[in-house]
This record gives sequence, structure tokens and C-alpha cells, in this order.
Amino acid sequence: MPATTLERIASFLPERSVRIEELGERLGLRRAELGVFRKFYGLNTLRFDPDLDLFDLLRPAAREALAALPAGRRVDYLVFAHTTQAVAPADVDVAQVLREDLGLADTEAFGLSHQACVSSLGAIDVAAELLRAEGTEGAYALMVTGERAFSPVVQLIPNTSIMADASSACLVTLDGDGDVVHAFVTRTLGEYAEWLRLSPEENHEFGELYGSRLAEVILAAVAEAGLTFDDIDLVIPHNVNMLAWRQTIKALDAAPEKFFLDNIGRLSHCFASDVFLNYTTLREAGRLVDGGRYVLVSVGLGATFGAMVITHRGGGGDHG
Amino acid sequence: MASAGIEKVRDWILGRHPERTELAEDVRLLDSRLVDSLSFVELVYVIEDASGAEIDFDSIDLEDFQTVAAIERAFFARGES
Repeated sequence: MPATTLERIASFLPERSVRIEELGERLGLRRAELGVFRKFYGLNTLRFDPDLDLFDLLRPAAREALAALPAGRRVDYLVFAHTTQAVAPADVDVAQVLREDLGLADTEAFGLSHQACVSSLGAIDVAAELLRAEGTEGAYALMVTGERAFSPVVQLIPNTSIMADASSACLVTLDGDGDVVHAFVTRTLGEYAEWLRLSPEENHEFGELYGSRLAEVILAAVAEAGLTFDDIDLVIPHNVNMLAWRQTIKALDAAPEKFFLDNIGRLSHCFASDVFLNYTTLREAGRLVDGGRYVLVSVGLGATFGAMVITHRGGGGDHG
Repeated sequence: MASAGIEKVRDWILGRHPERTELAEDVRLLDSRLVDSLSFVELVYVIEDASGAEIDFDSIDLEDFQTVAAIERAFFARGES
């Protein structure tokens, strides 16, 4: 079976950065709650620009990833992966608008959202399956994420995180020169499908199992890749909060330095874009090594736990 | 001897965990999930109410909440003889 390869990962952040305290009034957070978000959850600043149009947010990352498409090759699929189901007015099909905007006239475009913040990893899996099943020879797929924290309702996950603006994109093909995907594992616990309407008891229960279930999914993905956790160079996670990751690290009995958590305080949780945002931060810092093994991890409300194991290949022309 | 303030905090924690009758001062509250993310904000308000002072989040550390002893040191020790 041809391997899924990630040919170019790009991300984009609005310039406007705010401290979480500046969002207190908008989100109805009291002083102590903001203090807890800062001290307990490790949140500090985040990017948030209410004046930025959704497509102006999506376009830079999508274009950068698409620029790695070799001459003469085509993009069969464009997948817009998002957490919030309604990110635009009902008459705007974001995937179609983006397809036209990117000049991908012959590309099939669609959105995916049902794995919430894991939808981006899921979209890569779906796009690769489509390429394997019916793609044209040597074809590519483009996965794009990005959404704005356009309302307090989607910006605040009570007692968990404050959502921020960002976008990302990933150019995918089969047997290319990019990072090789070895395994992708998800577990969906449908009993938490009510998202933000869970009872306090259910929320408590979900908080109790979060770290251990996420640890299980990470280990399952690593095992499916034929590796052990010791073989992994770094976990590249979502930025939900420090607490959730402390629990997960404890459940794994792992060294904290194996988890890239620096962006939690800088950028907070950016819906389905986090792992790609963190990937680009690491790549730009020279921290992704050729042949290194990494796990991309996210959790989506609903609740889906997802982990993807990759080997980075830095030798290709598309990888800086 | 423990202050009345820290006893209020201890009683609040025990009140949330009817299965426990006592709480040693060195039990790790967060690691053992006696206080979890959902109840942490409440803990802050209980401490503020019991100590009569607002917590300055810029000057405290997560470790200040890890045990009853740490809470007492950080929020109740000052000004007592």
C-alpha cells in the first residue's frame, strides 16, 4: 500500500495578540477564573482579530502549502477541516469558495468537522484514502484548517481553554518525498457527544479519563507504527492547556521534555490548527530532524482522541 | 496550631469528598484530584473568603495550592503570631 506523505505543512497567525485578561469581559470571566486560566492552565497570550475575514485567515497557509505542488501535478481533493460546524453563514460553502480562491478549478472540495479538533488529522487520513482509492496517478490533496473565535460561545470552553485564531494547511500525496505517515489512531467516546452541554458530572468524568484515554491512543498509534514510545523524538500536541497535558504525561509516565508545550502560553488552543502550527514552530526553530519520529496529537469535543505517527524527512526540497 | 481560615479550606475540600473523614496537610490535592480543574476556581474563592484577601495571581505559584500546608503558608501565615 502506498504510504501517505506530508509534502508541505504551513500555518498562519493574525498579528493581533491579546492577553487573556483582555478577553475577560467578552467571555464573562471573573478575575479568579482568569487567574486560574493563567496559573493552572498555562494560558497567557493568544491571537485574536475580530476584523480579519475568514478567507484572509485561511488563504496565506493554504497558498504556502500549495506552492509546494510540483509543476504539472494536480490537486484532486481540497478538504477544509474545522471544529465548529458553522464557521460561515449558511449560504457560504467555505471549501468551494476556497477552491475558487486558490484557482483549483478541477479539484473536488468539501468540508469535514465531526471529529472537532481532530478533524484536521482525520482529513489527512480521508484525503489519503481517497487518493489511494480513486486519485489520479501522482495526484495531491490539500488539507486546510482555520477558523475564527467569532463568538464567545465558541471561544470559551469553560474550565478548559480559550480558543484563538489561526490557520494551517498540509499538502498530501502518496509515496512522495515528505514526512511519512506510519499510523493514525482515533477513539471516539460518543457518550460525550453533547459538547458544551454535558452535565457537571459528565464533565468531571471526562476530566478524569482525559489523560489516560489520550495516553492509550498515543500508545496505540505508536504500536501500530511498529514503534515504542522510547522511539518517539517529540509529541506535537494540541494546545488545549497545561493541565490536560500534565495528566497525559503522568499517564504515560513519560519525560515532560518529550512534549512540545511552549505554544500553549503563547498561542492557546487554535481549534483544528494546533498540531500544524506547532509543527511549523518546531521546523522553523530547527527542532525537527531528518528521520525523527513524531506524534501529532489532538482531542476534539464530542469526544474524539487522535494520534498520528510520522517520520520527518528534511532532505526534500519542500522542507525547510 | 492551624488557623480558623485554613480549617475552612480543609472543611470545604472534605465536604466535596464524603468518603474521606480527614485530610493530612501534605496530601497532594491536585495530583490526587481532590481538587480538579472544575473545582479549582471554587477553591480560589474559598481561600479568598477564608483569608479575607484577594489572591494576587501574579505573585503565586501552582505549588501554593498543592497541599493544605502549602495553602496555609501562602495565604494564611502572614500576620499571624
